[in-house]
Amino acid sequence: MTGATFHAERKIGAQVFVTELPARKCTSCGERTVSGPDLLAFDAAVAGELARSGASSPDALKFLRKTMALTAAELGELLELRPETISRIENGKMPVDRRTVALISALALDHLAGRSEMADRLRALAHPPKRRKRVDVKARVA
Amino acid sequence: MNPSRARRRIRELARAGRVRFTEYSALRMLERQVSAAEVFRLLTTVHRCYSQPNGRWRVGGEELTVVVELTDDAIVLTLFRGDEDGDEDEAD
Repeated sequence: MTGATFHAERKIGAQVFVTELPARKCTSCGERTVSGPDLLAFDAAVAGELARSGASSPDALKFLRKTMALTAAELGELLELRPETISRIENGKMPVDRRTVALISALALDHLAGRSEMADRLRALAHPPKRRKRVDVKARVA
Repeated sequence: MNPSRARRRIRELARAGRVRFTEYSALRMLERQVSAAEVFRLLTTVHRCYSQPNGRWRVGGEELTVVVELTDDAIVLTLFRGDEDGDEDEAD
């Protein structure tokens, strides 16, 4: 195996995201391979750019969902939308409102940072936990 | 190797991040808007796995099918969506 590079390019809507990733070249057959974690990192970088810029094109929203490895049904449950509605949004057959874009971007940025607070809150809203009548809290006093 | 053992091996390698993509499959993944996370999710939770006559393993999910070769790593050779015909599209 020898070192080589792999030109990675993702076209999302009207934007093209590019990078060079390290690759391994087999000395006998010449086949080049690229590491899965490196491709995950590339996708994460693309998703981060899309989420931070508030990209709302159908392709961008679909890519963000896929980077989170969520099915349309799973994302739909978090956003209180039917899977068919997610599909229509991602196919450009239905406009998407800013609140939905903001939630998907926030979910993606959380996911990329290894957090799940937003998804946990949305799940808790969908399936409210039983609330205790008396709750002891710690007040931050001066 | 039987399918059950292959499934375990694929899951282990994927969870350890020991997955590599051939240039062909990586290009295909990028072109077809398949995310690396989707492939990892499929490989770490593989339920259906069939051996091919050439010794490779076909891992099928609901939306995505991946063909892998097991060496020290899981090498992804090709991938296709459920509605595509993978037989004619596998690179040698």
